Amino acid sequence: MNGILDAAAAVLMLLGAGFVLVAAIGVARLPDIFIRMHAATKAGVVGVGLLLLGVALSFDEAGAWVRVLPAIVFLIVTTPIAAHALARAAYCAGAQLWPGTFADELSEVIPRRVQRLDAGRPQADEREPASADPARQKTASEVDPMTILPFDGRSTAERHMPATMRTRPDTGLRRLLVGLAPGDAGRIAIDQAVRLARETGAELVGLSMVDVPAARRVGAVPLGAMHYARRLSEHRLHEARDKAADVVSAFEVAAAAAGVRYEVRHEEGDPRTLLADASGSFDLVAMPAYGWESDGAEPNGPGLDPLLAAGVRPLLTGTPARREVRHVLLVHDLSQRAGQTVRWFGQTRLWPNATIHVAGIGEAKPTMDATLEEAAAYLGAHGYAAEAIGPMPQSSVAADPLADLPFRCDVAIIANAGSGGRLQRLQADPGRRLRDARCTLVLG
Amino acid sequence: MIPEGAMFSEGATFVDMVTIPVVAMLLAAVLVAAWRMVHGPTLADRIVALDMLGVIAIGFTAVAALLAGHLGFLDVGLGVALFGFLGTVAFAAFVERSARAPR
Repeated sequence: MNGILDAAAAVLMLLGAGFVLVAAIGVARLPDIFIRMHAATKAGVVGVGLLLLGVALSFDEAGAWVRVLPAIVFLIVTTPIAAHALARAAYCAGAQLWPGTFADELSEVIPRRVQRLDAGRPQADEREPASADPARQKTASEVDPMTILPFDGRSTAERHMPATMRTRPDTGLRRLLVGLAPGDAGRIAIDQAVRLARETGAELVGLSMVDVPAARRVGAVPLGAMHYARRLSEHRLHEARDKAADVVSAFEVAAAAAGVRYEVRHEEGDPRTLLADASGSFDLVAMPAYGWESDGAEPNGPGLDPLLAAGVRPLLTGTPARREVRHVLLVHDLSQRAGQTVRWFGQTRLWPNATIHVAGIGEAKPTMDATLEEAAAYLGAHGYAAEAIGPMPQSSVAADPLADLPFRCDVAIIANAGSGGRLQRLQADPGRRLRDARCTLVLG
Repeated sequence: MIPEGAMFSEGATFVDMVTIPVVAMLLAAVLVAAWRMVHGPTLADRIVALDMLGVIAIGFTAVAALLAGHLGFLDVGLGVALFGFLGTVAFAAFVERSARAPR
């Protein structure tokens, strides 16, 4: 065998084995079955194909080529078929979609069994006609293909793009994620998200999360008590899943009653990572002010700070407005991040009839006035009545931040709440301090 | 198989040099895919992992053919590919049918 052929064969084999290894790592590490399949089929076939080619090259006999080429053709022909059949089956069986999934083209085309959280519970969450929403009354066979298309006239290509990448001169709020959590705060968050989805026509996705390691944690175990500890931890996990199933049913009842487009996903893992992964594809994430990290029983938890630190924003929380939103307070800390929040707000066009009061944090300075005026002008250009009201009084920041305002604030948007700084005092503990503020909060 | 046009004095070719790394990578791939097969939360996940294992097995047969200097192993690889395909499709049909079945 000559040296060049030998070297080429060696390179092909190494490349092929590398592709196979990467494919296997992808199968193990990627977040949902459909994405995993992608690694197994594409990278796997390329890897084995290269490996086979390398082997045939190094044999350099007609017999090797006669065996290798049909094998490669066979793989290329059959793998997509197998993957298609399997993906379809997994979808029907209700395999979980990654929370960051943008488009579910098969939704309401193929009947789908939603994954059961609790085998003993009668199923209310079937994606089939039983739901109260008239749009869901049709069976799969009689759905007019046109009604499957989104009503807002976006093209398919546009719907596949991440929310942050879409050019949106006139977008509005399109995708709203609500973190499902038990307890009062969880109910309030669901209520708030469902209202907002009904008002804006946004697509609502409920994300139910069970943090398995946290749910199983039983603390230190004395010698010999391992058996009971294990039983206790099983019991706790079961309880957590049970609670999650309750919240999911409550969410579905609320969403179906309001007639909004909704979807439920259940994920097991650390809520911080799950939400941080998912939030990139949503315009807004509604979260209960507390209780999301545990079973909802603990009002003194860390609040929403960990989520803001993990980059989940903008967050919608607080109390839902009981009347039409007339006054929105936008707290601006003059940072670049705050500018992003202003832009986000202008583009989502939430609460279009409200007056926006743009307030600054810190001492009054000419630069602050200029920044606030600029923000107000930006919002004005997006069709809001907006005014800059100068700095927020320090005293009111220290006590109840919203008490001393000259108007009754329905919604407070706190820009750059995540990175502390000037806003630290205002949002030191948004969960505890501001959840009594009796207004809707948006933490940008 | 010792090729005659060897570039090194010991008679080692590039292919001989990469055989060990290739086998090591395939073994690592087996371990990783097997992890998913054991952990996969649903049956469909396990099937994807099984499919992956089948693909890796074809790679192994290719390397085995090279090491043994016998082309017959390549036929074995073709057989593995065939049965892997049939198995995956059958499993997919099973998963889909059990999802459709009335409860």
